[in-house]
Amino acid sequence: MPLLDIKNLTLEIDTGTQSIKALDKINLTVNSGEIRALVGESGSGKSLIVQAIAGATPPNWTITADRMSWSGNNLLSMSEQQRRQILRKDIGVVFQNALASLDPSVTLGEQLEESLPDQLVEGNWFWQRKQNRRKVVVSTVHKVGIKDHEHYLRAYPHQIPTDIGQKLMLAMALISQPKMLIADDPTRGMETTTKVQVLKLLSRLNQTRSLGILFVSHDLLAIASMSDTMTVLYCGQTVESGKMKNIRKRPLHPYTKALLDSAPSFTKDLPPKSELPTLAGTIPTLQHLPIGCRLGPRCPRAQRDCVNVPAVRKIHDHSYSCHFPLHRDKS
Amino acid sequence: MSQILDVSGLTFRHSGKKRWLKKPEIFALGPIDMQVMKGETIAIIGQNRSGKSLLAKMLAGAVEPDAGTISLLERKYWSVKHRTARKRADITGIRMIFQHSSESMNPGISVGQILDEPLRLNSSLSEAERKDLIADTLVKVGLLREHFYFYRHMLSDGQQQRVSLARAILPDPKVLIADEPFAALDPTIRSQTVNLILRLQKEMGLAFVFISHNLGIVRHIADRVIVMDNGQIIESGKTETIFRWPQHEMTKKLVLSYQSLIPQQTLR
Repeated sequence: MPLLDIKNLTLEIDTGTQSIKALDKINLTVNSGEIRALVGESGSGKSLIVQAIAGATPPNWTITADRMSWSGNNLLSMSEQQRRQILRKDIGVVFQNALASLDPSVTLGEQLEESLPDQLVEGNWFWQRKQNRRKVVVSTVHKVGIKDHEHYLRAYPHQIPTDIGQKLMLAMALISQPKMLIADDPTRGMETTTKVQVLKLLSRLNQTRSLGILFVSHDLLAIASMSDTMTVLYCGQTVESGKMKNIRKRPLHPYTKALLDSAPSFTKDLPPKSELPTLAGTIPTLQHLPIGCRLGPRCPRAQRDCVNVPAVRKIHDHSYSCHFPLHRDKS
Repeated sequence: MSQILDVSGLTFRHSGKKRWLKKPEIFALGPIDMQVMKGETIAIIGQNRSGKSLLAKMLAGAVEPDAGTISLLERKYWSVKHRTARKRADITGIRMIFQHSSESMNPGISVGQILDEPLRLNSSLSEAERKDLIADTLVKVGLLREHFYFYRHMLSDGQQQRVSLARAILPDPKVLIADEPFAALDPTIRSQTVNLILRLQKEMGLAFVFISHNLGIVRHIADRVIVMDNGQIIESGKTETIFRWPQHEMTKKLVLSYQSLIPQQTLR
């Protein structure tokens, strides 16, 4: 049974004069013990999905979905109270831009202690509970790779460097021992050694605690090394999804191919200083989305049919939506 | 290939204020020696707080070094004794691209004015000539002439990066310095920028010094790599040599963690 199951999620933003379909029929499932990567460039709606799952939506957004369930329970028909309880207990969220999501007026130690649920603290008397709470916080901080806990737990968010903030955000999400972790770009801007550290921590938790992870990022190198399955988004549409292995070996959608080509480490026989293959043009803004397949204007294989939204097609576990997929002309 | 930039003994010392019972924070950079050839690409890698950005800023002139000399084309460009040399040689020899291109642009004036400023202050071109040059440069970096009248918020990330690249290459510099030029960009836009820089380098014979955490791109475009740690250059050499036979502990750590990210299938 999948932990998180989303079918045909559509998110509309009402701007007053018009309503924009920021997400268009997104399908996404995360099984327990699975690392699912959600890949897409900025403006593709990755963070919107995260916000929709977390329920942190402004009043002018309308979310409709055929199915959006958390281990069998429908998230959309739930009361605010129940939903918040699930979020508190079972889902840990690492938001993008860690330093901005931390409370600027409270020290990091206090914030961490606050996000630790009471039932996870041992002891009957308040002094024991206080000590144990501190102990759990310190051990979690060590686990995410911050050594100098004395200094950082006493600091305020503006006093710490970004990568420490990102790690602390991760600690805050993990401290309540969730079943699933939603990590929105947890390794952005990190240098390689720190990044590897964080990725190792995540895959270890995935193996030991069978933690389901929704890993949202555009860093393909990081994703390829740890995730089992991948979903590629472009401008609010699901482009391709399936096993990481299959997609890497044989992408079916032109956009996925362009994305894989953009990381020079993947292509083995690339002569140094040669031109990297890439898509022309830029990512369209939400106000000026093209009709039909949203990749249309940038796609090298676009034809007349592309003004209609392509249906989702499936080959085993591998689903894609394109009128002219890449495997057609090989056979 | 001729030597274009010669840096010797560049030093910078930073010490935080000494307080009661508190040890002053000391950060010393250098002495740094490096040579850059014409048309060469040099990547600076290293961990956080290793002084990479500071070195870039010192080369570009945003931060004054405490000692050492920088000479450009065998002419003294900067030294402690010739503090005014940089002013006389214009600022056109070494130009810099900043990490967040959007934040380094003035939101209140149009792209045309942003690009006009370095020319107006550092060249004796007339207004018409400047306008022609700006239009040509905009086309060169893959934008349209109409972008002259655009403002910052009307451009996408990739276009902003192109504008800041245009601003850097306008006065025909010899050396281009970039601090994490690819970090904030999306994958397809990043490839476009890499291609653009490679093309411009070929056309103009620019030397390109850049800082990056993305070792994949470093390996792809750099001729030489400089590894920094704690304010010192700990290793430098040809890209392939560094990636295949790293000598220093720090370099080994960096390269190994990069290799561990690459899936094993590519090795087969």
